[in-house]
Amino acid sequence: MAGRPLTHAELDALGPQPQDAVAALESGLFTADRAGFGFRHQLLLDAALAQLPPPRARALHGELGAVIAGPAAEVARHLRAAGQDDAAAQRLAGAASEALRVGAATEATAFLQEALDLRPGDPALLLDLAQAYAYNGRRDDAEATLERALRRIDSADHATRGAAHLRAARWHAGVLCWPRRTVEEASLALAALDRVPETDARTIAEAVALGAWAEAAAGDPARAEQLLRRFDALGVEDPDIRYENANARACQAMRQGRLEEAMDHFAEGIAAGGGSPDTIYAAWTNRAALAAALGRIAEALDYAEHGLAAVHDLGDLPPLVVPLHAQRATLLVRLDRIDDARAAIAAEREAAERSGAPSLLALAEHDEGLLCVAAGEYERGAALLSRALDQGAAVSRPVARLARAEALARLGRADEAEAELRAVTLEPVHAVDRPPVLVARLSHVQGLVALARDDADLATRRFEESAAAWRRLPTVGAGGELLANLVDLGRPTLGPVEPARELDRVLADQRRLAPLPT
Amino acid sequence: MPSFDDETTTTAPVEEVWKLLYDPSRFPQWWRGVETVEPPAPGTEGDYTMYPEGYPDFPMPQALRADTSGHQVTISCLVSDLVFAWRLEPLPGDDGTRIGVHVEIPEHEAHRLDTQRDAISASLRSLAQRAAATAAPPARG
Repeated sequence: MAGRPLTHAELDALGPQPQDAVAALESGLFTADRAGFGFRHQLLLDAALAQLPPPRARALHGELGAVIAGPAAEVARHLRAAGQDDAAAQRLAGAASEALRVGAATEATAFLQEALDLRPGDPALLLDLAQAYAYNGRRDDAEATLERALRRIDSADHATRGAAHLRAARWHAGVLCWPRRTVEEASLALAALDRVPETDARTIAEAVALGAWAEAAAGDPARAEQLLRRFDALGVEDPDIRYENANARACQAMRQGRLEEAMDHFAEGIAAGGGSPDTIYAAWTNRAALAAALGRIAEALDYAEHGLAAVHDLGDLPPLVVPLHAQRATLLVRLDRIDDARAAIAAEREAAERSGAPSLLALAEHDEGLLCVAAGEYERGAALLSRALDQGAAVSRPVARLARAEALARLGRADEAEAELRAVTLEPVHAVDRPPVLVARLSHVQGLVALARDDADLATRRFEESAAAWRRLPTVGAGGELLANLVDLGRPTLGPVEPARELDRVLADQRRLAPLPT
Repeated sequence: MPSFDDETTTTAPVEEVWKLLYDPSRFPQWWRGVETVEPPAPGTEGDYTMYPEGYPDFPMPQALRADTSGHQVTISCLVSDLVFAWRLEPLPGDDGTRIGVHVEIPEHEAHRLDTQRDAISASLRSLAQRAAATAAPPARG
């Protein structure tokens, strides 16, 4: 009935039945040892269960559900079999929460779907499910489920609606890294919670801090400043909330180009000791991005590795692990450690496959494609980038197409490369794409196409054009480049664009046109 | 809201026009009235800062965005609120590019309609010519 041997404590909890236990042991069907009491074999258990009349089976499941000390999911199964649907749903929600704590977002999703079978449309369960989707990187499912939950909450119930919006702001700011949606959710949370006089200062402070972060990253910096002042006035000392405040101040500093100050704020956030996987991930990965933007690549790599270690201790959630491995890979390529970069990309793919989320798998394909192009594996790079683009990876599409065009041109497939360049001009362009960077790269690839066609004159013109474009670009990216990645792509900058290095690549190709006399 | 449209064609492929439209540092080469262009200063809004001809002390931050289809790039002046939506369309047979522009002028700047119409007309043709000049000769074979 229990599906496993019962522990002695569980057996005792079922009540005084020594005669039953002795009789059962004497039948030869059962076994008892130091670990517990149960059927000798699974087949015996299955046969016994099949013979139980349903009312008796339900009653026994109910008794077991009340006493067994197993995981919440196991308890929930007994309660469900006993017909106690509400209690089972509650236990399944508990099981989901336990699963999420250890990074098992897929399992959490399954528990919550099962709970919703028992309590269809329950807004609390829907909110939990939306969060589980978010932790699995399934942005669209998270959005749709949040919407379903909100439709089920009374429009006059400001406390519940405010709490729901605050939860959504939390996962949009953290695991989904989507500042524009965080602006909306934090603002809705505050609008609702400000109408509930008994809301505690910690809750308000969290909504304020998340709103300030999102406004700093993707909204109105003046509004961010107002929210930061409101936060100070609340005087909340909770470590998680202090982390959020440090994060908001860091983004505000990035927005205003004060990169060193932003790094200090992220360090304050880590020191504040907030414990959620999202916040730890964000602090380390953003510190890494800033150090890389300042040209301190080894230091950046160190931060990314700290981030991975911290996230590992908290369950290796795929949406957090995937970008951290991608960031490591990019930094390792920058340090010419190609084999280590390959290992990082393999780990990224493993995490993406573990999640089963198509969006993470597409990202992994894209990141591996870029690595292949950087490592000179053009055939594989072109194929991977093509797949990632087809799958709608949340990446800079013009940048991905330019990398693919470069691979094709270097393979001598000039017509295909040219078609890919045409496709670049038809892609939407966002701030993250830095249009002048696209122009410089496009001219470079045009030069490679001309080279593939043995048109030295045209190749020379295109390389000169590209070199001039790279020389016009500022050497160090400002904070805006870093924030643009968060805003447009929902993930941190993997590695900054370095015009000097890009110029060197163009000049190296240019030298192929005019070999030194021997 | 006062507005106007203009268009022309060029023998240049769409890539050559695209490069001129997406690199604000090259706007002074073809956009009448634009004297210099600089990257945005940290903490300022916009994707680049434009200084109008004859007004070196008047920075005008501009935003540059492409629409979701990628066929249109919109440049918005964050000071005057003028909006310039440039459209690129490859001509049939890859025979060049049609360049169109739609300009919207807010009511409070309506007095600039005629001068803007003239300036944009000249800029449009200058853009077409410059793109044609930088284009590759037709592919052989």
